Amino acid sequence: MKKKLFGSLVVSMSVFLLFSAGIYASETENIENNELNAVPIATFSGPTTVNGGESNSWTVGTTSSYGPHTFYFNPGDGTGQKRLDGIGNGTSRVFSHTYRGTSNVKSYTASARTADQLNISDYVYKSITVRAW
Amino acid sequence: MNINLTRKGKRIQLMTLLFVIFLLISLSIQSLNTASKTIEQDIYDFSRGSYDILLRPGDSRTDLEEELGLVEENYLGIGHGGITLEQWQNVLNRDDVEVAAPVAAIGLYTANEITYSLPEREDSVRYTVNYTTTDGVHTYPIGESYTAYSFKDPNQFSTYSTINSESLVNVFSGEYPSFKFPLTYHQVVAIDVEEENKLTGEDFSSLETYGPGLALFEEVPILGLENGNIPLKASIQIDTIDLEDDEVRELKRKYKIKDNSTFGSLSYRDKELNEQLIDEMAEQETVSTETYSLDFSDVITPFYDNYLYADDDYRLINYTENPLEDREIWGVIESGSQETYYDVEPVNYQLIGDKISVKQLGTDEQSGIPYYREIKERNNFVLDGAEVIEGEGFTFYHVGNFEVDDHDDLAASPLGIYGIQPTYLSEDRHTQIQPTAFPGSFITTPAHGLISIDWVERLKGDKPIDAIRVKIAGIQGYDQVASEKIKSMATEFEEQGFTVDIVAGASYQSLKIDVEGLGEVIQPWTTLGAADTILQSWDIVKIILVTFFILVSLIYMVFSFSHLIKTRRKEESLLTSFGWKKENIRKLRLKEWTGLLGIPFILAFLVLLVISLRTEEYVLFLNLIIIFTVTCLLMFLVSLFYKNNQNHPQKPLGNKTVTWQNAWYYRHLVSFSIVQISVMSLIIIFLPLVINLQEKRTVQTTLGGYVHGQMEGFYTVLLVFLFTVGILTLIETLISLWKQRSDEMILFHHIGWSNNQMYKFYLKEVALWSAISILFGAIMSICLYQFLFSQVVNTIIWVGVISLILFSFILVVSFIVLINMLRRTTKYWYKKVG
Repeated sequence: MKKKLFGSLVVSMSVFLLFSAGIYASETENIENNELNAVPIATFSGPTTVNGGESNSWTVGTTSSYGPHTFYFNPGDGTGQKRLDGIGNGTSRVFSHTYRGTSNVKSYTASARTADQLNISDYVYKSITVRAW
Repeated sequence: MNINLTRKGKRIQLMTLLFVIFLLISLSIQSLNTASKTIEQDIYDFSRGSYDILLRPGDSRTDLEEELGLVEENYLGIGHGGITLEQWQNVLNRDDVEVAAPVAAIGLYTANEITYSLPEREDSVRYTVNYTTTDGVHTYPIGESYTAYSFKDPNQFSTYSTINSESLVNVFSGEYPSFKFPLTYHQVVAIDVEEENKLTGEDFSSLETYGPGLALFEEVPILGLENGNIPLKASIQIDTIDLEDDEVRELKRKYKIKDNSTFGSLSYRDKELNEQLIDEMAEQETVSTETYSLDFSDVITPFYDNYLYADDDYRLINYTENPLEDREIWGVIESGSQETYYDVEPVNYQLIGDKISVKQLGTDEQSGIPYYREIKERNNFVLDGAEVIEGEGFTFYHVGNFEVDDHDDLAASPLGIYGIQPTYLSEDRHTQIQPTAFPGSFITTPAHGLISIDWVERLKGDKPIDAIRVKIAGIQGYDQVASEKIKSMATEFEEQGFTVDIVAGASYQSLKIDVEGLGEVIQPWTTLGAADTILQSWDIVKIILVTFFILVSLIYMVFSFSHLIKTRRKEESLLTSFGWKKENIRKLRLKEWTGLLGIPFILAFLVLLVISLRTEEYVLFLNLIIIFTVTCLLMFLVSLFYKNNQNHPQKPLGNKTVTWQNAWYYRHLVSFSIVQISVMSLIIIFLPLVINLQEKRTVQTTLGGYVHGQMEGFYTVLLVFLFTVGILTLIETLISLWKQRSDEMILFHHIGWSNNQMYKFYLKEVALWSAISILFGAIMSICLYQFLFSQVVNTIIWVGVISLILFSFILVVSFIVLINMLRRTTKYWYKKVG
């Protein structure tokens, strides 16, 4: 009688363990798949109004954790896109830029993007106003 | 009474031979005329290349091409179009076309402008950067020179402060000392990925991928040439300067730099003040100096647009091949670099006599670099800042490289865009000439960038294609049928308005060109094909064969006549002793010889009549009359010779062996045979050498030189007859010689010589003079081969083997004749004794 009970207990525990492991594996795979399909989201912060001829900094970040990341910052004034290939798991980088000043107020559409080891993010935009002299 | 002093068998033999000689010489002379005329080469003389027909817009041929039949090696890399996409598709969709690979030259473009970074320096340093470019002979400064300073500034939010010229704002920083480098322009050509793959076997499918979308504009995939040269060097001078914190503060105060501001962007605020600052910084004392040279040609390919950096040893590194894993890398990339491009015209070569020259059209004001062709700067679109205000923006996206190898078929075929043969100085083959970074060189490089034909209408308009390389379907190689098919299609394309070239027989040539500013250079050019071209063509094999056949025939005739006259002397003197008058003897001689010559002549005449009526070659009669006249003349001369010639006593040879002495003594009797054997030996060695040269039916197509190698049936007959006559001469010579020495043979037999001893004795003589003849013939054939084909006979063993075989054959024939002669002579003696 005791043996039968003990045996049943063992079988039940085994079945339960197997079931749990299966669910765990399935969930992990789901998580991984979701993460694989996840496109990073770029973050873009910094001043929106600046003086011409002065250096300012903007921070480009990413929500992704699949580093190392590459960060792109385009100031939007035709001077070229800056790019930085990061190392490690750093999720943001600072870009400095100086806008030319003119006698008029000028606005530029700056953009930022990031890429992790799997995907590239969409552009994030920010309007930058350069004060007149 | 019908008397003939010449035996019937001998008469028939001689008449038969004369008939064949008259016939064959008449026909040979006619074929010699044909062999020496200028002829058209035909397509089937050549090996098939990677394609068969080149189509270009109408009137595409340049003056030089018309004059010399040559084009520059990469002649398709420059062009202004003329063929529409629809026209190309029509060619491609034909059932009889296997490949229709278009080429559209787009222009000279630069890659996306990028920066390169030097290692970070924590000390206070001054950077001075200059750039140079070279054509292989001269070096020119190019682009902007940069001066920049980097030093620690603890009051700044950034670790470093920088002082730099305006163009380095937003480029140079203390953490990433970066610089721009001058733009270099490279030939870009559009191809169809699928058709080019069929033609070349190379995979260009990456041209049909999509870019990552990192640029502001539409991304056009481009492949760069793997070994394409970027002719650019940077000279970097890094001076360590002694700059104290107090000095920095003083400079900030003087130039009104706020504590939270930087020197680096001063030029944006006050350009003059910035220049003043840079001038003041130039006076800073230098503590130490380092200089480095960075050669871009060693590291990057045309249209490279990834990061570029120098390592701690200041060696430039290609990031694609060597990505950094232990530190970050920073750079700037300009997507609008394809806003401007250069359209270039073909070089205007001047041909004076047989000299080709090219003049400079001008020099660049800033760098002094000469240019040799018209250059027009054009815009694809117009930018205002980052905004496209005119046209549609696009940018190149570098998807990889393609390779052209020296030994690759890609480079060997006249495909018009892949030629990589170098141009070099005539007086120094180690000095290669190359285009500089500035457009306008006289050299048209191979395509440095390839893009897909899908973009070509947008970049070049509605008639963008410069050429289509067509491979015909359904043919394996060039035979008569294929040749007719190609010609028929070529005619059809011509009627459609294309400039058509059949490329069979195309080959490379090196031309000497006098280039102003450089001197004489050797440049690779190419013929587009030799088919249907009038060339001087000499069929050496035929000429040699016919010439020696005529010689051998004439020698045989002289030999036969001499023999006839000598044998007749005895009979004629016998007739004289019977009471015949000289006049009657002469009449008899004339009657016999008229028959001997006349009958073969008439028979040959009748045969040639039939041939002439069929071929309308009436000049054959003239040839027959000429050869008949020559034969009669020869007969007359021979009879005159023997009439006047007395037998002079011969001096012995001195202290030589009996064999030598005998050979010398009887040299007059064997002289004809010696000549015949020499000719046979020359022919038997020369012909296989030439035929081996032509074994694969590849033909030299350099102007002025073209060699056939066919052995048609007629010439095989000539060859067989030549050897037959030669052997006949030998046999008759030996018979005549040993008949004359029959008493000697009887004596040897009488004194007890065995047959073997006699064979050895007589064959030694034959061996001696035939070996000398064969050796002479072999040397002549080698010299002739060297003279005519500039080829060194590298198979002396082969020549030796053939000579040995001929020698053995002659000995065997001589042995057979000797056996018969000995048997007859000694048997007769036995009979005589018995």
